[in-house]
Amino acid sequence: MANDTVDFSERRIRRTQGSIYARDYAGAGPALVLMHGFPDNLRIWDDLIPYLNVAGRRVVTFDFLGFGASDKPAGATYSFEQQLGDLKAIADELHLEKIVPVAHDSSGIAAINYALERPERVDSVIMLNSAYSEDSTVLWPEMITLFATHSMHALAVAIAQSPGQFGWLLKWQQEQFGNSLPESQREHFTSFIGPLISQNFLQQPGAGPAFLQMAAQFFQALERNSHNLPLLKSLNTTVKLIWGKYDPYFPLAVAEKRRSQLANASLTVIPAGHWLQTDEPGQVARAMLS
Amino acid sequence: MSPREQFVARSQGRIFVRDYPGTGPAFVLMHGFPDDGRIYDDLIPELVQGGRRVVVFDFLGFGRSDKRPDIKYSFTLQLEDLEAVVDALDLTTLVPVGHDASGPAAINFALDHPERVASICLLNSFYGASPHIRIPELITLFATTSLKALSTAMLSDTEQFDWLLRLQQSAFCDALPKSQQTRFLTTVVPIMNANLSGDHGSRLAFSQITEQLFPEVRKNTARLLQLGPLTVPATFIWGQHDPYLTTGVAQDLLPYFRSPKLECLPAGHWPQLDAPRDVGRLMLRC
Repeated sequence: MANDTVDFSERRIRRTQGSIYARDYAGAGPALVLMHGFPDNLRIWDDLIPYLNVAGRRVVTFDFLGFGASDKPAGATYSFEQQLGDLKAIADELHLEKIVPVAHDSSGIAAINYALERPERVDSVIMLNSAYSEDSTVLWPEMITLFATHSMHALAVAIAQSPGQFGWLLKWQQEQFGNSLPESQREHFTSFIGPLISQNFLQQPGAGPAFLQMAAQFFQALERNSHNLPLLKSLNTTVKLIWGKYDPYFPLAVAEKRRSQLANASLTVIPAGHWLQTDEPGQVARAMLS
Repeated sequence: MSPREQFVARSQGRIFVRDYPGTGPAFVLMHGFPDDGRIYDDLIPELVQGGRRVVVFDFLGFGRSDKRPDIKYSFTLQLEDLEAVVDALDLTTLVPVGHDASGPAAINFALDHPERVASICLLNSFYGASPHIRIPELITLFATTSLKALSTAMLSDTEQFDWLLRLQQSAFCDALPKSQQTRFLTTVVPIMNANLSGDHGSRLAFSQITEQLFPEVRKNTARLLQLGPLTVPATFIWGQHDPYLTTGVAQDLLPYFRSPKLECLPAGHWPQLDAPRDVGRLMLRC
């Protein structure tokens, strides 16, 4: 199923620093609001959406400010608070009384914090391979660690400013994700996710500034969220963890730990990688809709 | 003035040593990473003219010493290299001189063998945790275990590693006064490049030892208070234009010694190359 067979209406939602781009696929609520991590954009959901659409569900997906087709104003300040604000703006402007925030990668932070702030407006939460709080057992992707480690800031900036270096790093990081996939999933990953991420940086204006700023705040955000862990135990919302087991960076142990940190969570394991929604969209849709 | 060159044999390989005759206690000059004993070439004549015996050696895995791929390079191995050289040359008393990453060997040798140390001399170096310490980015990259896969990939890709090396060298060079930059580019840079560029050399020793940097600093931090009872005098000779191991690092370490002296010079991270005459004059007072 290709996404171009599914109709959606395009929206631009005003935020203080610029507008964010959203796609709204008609269907029955509560709407599934699909969020991306960094450094990618809403197109990571393209393979999955037709399955959700066929099942009759309303789906909303958007690019965070600074990514994809959303504005990238010169001098913008990007933060995890701003990303949470983006999600709130989407829910408010589209009049979504109740939503199912669906997290992938770094948008796990917005998903859970939204549920903590607005429990009455959340039907349930779905988390694919994603981050929320500090976890000393996790090996974050090296490219993120490099840009997130303040003592290497000068090196990270020099790499970001050299297209040759940045391209090498991006390619190397993609290989790390790709190499851990089964042979059958590798080609689609290489031909779809690889270019999607590269394009995110190459297009002008690109996602570079948002990526650099978000990565630099990543470790502090995780640390801040660690203080919220006691609150998760009293969160009544159902949380579905749907996890690709071939992710070299967000292994199953992360999902199992998160399940133990939540009051009401289930875990479905998918034979797929970090971008499971594109590796095995059918299986992910089934788990989401079950 | 030519030194007696020799190799000191250890079970892990042979250590290349140059021994310049003179009166004791001998200065034993140690290098950091990624360089070798040649960083002292401009300083040695000053010390020899002062009548002193000077011993300089390359740690295993660096310079002209053996670089066996089957051994484990570590800070402990470097301390043992120093002990092996001191024993082989029968130096009853000495002045261990630590620069950069050989600060730990100099200080730990003094703690382990106080009776053999006439005084300690450190040039832009480090030992334990220090609020002012800033580790060069190239070193931090290789010292961060969560980046091991990335640093290994960059080390094995000549183009990538050369880029990193050039970037790091520029950071050191840019911090120097204009008058010292050419000297830096014609002395330090070729030594570093010879050690690390190309398809062999000190890369293995460099990456293995760097990986142990943070644990080594932690281990040394636990020994800082043992420095108090040490009666050995300590001289810190510091280039002020070092953007990483700043004079603040020396000032952090100073209070742990009983009789420390700090001498700051208008030089960079390698004061022995930037200002050899001044460094020699100050060392001869050690």
